[in-house]
Amino acid sequence: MIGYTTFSFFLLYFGITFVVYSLLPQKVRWVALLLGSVTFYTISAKGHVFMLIAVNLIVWLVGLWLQKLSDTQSAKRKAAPKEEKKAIKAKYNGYKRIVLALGAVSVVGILLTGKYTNFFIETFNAVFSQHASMLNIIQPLGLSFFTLQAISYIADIYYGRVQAEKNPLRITLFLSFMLTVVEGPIARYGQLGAQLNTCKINRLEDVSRGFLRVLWGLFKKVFIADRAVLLVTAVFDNYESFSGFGVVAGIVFYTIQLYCEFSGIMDVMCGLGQMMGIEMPENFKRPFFAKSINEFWQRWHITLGAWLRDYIFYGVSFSKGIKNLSSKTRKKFSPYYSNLIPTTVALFFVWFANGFWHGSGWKYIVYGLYYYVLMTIGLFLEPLFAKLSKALRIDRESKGFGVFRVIRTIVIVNFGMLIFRADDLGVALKMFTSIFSNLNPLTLFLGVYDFNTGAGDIVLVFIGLAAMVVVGVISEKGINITERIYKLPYVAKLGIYLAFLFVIIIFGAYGEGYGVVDLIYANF
Amino acid sequence: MKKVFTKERVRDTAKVLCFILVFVLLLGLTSHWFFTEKTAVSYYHISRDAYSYVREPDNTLDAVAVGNSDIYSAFSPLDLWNEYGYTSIVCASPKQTAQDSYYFMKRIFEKQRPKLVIIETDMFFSYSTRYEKALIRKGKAPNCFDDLDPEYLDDEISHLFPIFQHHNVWQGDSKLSLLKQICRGYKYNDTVVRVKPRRYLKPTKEKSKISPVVIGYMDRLVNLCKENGAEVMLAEVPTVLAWDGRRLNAVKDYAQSRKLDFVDLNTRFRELKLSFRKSFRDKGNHLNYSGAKSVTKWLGIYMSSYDIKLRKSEEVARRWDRDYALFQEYISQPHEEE
Repeated sequence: MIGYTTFSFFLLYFGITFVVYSLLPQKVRWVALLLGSVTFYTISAKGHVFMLIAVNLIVWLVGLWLQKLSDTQSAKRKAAPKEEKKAIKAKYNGYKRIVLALGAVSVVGILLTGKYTNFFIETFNAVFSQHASMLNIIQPLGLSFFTLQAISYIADIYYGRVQAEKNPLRITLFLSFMLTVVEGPIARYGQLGAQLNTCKINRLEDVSRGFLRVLWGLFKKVFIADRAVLLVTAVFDNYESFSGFGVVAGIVFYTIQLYCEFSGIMDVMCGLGQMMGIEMPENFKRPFFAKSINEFWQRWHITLGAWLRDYIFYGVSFSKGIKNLSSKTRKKFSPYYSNLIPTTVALFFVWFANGFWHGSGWKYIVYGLYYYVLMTIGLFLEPLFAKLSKALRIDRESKGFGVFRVIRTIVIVNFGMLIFRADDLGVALKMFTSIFSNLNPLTLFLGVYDFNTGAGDIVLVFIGLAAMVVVGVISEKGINITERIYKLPYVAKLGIYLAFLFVIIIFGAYGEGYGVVDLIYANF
Repeated sequence: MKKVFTKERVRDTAKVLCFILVFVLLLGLTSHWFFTEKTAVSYYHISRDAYSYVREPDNTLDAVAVGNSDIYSAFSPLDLWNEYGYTSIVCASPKQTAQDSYYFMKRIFEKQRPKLVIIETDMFFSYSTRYEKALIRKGKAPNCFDDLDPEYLDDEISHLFPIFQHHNVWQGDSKLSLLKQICRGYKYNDTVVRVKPRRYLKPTKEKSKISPVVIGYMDRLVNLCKENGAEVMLAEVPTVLAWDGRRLNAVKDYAQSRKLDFVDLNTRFRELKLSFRKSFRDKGNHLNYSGAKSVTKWLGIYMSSYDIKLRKSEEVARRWDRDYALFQEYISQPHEEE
């Protein structure tokens, strides 16, 4: 069972690994992590580990190959006379590009085969009115995450950011690490891989701080997200029975569910990493304080955004085609638009990839492009907005305008979530129109009680959210709550931790009457 | 090794162990004092009906039905008593799993000696995760890795510290309605919703796949019943949306392999005189009281093939008669839906 909130994960997979890891000398600690991670992945994936092994082997070999080319390039350039250095550089860069492309295409090929084969067949059937049968392919656990990590590993060797790893088992650990393999964060070898290899000594302060973060993550997941899912399921499965307000409530609760679940699990992972002295990459930074969708995506699923920026946006931006386009636009448009046009072309690939990565369905592509279209319109109209604001004497730096921007971003994000969660685009459209066609507040929670969502559940979601907002506001002000708690005397800390634990245990939405809630991103 | 076991580390480890000790102690104490079966039956509104067995005097039940919302909507112990004189309870909760049913029956057998246990078969088709469901559907599981999955640990710990099971007691109110006190796990509902069935019971040779976890717990449940001298009957009550021919074939196979009696009442829809217009309370998932009466009546006749009737004391009979009369009085008067 894949569950980061189960006893079996905490006590067996993580627990045993943590104890053994903490007892072993620093040099061999990575072996404990490797064994723990491989066992966790193999059992959770029910033995479907072929694709992980294949990706592991590919990037290990390609990494060594790239490293060898880089080393040879450096050696030859050192030995060569000045006039030949440029030619050597160009020649080996060409070789390296080919090897990188070979590795990246192979890994992407595995991702496409494992995740998208049936989507392609389905699309082919729909477009050409054919009846080709679907293939019996299983998408292995964590495929979308470990393939991106694998590509970043070889790309970083290509760019000279990291050295290739000689030991393939260390790459296995990087790709299958139990705290990242199921739903990220999408780590880089230079950041996480290095720590997994060195394994610093973890102290009580690491354990204490990390544990508090684990509790916070569990609170978000078990207290809020798993409770919000009751209303979400009720609305999305029977949206016809709900009023317009009911549908809006369902969408808002889905946004709450997704955020609390995903960021909650990330907190758990980061906390567990911290307990072992490993600093995990952050995936969220209070995204609902963002004033624009651009800023939202810099705070939401940060590691995916950074990956797309580094390996797609920059890749496309520095390509010959975009450079040519750039020089053409410079002649015809103002500096603002001449820079904007090539940028928006590169952004198209980023957002298409973002949507496509999220799942094998057209709704995900539309989800990505929804943000692209809004962002592009915003960028193109920015000079006009600036002029309008000036004419209307709107202070765009004022607090009031800032609040308006935050609310606007939240509304845009919620509509995106409707596309993301609805069964398909048709349902999303029907739900969207039903919001305006049936606006009767008296039937707000029509049907909710049939699905075992009591007033207590709704109240608890709001209490949980209030706690998150308070913590969010305090954190935005730069106050570190973890540090404050950590500095308390041992007994006070013990009391706080125990109280927090029992709040989660007693008020968590699990057990009888509550089904097991799948991790949403574990399916991507 | 010297670096690992420094004085500081030993002190730190002691602090961590102290925390764990206090935590486990508190878990045990709260489980013993506050979060017990008895508080669950009084307070927890979602699944307290499943705990109605707590109120029954020892060794007075002839039959027990376990399952999810399908069975608590379809089987009325009071009507069964009135028509055939069997004392029974429904031990069911929303989304109840095979593991839940196993642990419920384990506790029931501590105080009761039912001769028949009816296992509702919709529970066969629950999966731990979507990943497991996908694997099973595509024929990529079960495999040897299922045996290595330590999922059982979650159930064991939940039952070791009942706080994990009964933590939701804060949700309910202490005023248990009369209906809840007398219905013995049946959830009375007389709403009528017209159902438009699509592809209901289309014959097929295909079989749905059952999770190995479910099979494992079903086996344990069946063995538990047999060890306690109870006959096991697998039953699927009419449900238009969730049930199909593939599921029927899969359960049939299981029943045959374990030599168990299996009745699918979906296939006896007409014999039961059920109607898509009048017998359901929602879109076709659950029967209303009219449907439940038909199912209970049919089961009562069918149960006569088992030798299960116990000799009841007059006191027990009087209690059941009184409750049936109260139930009739309640449903004959205008009432709000519970």
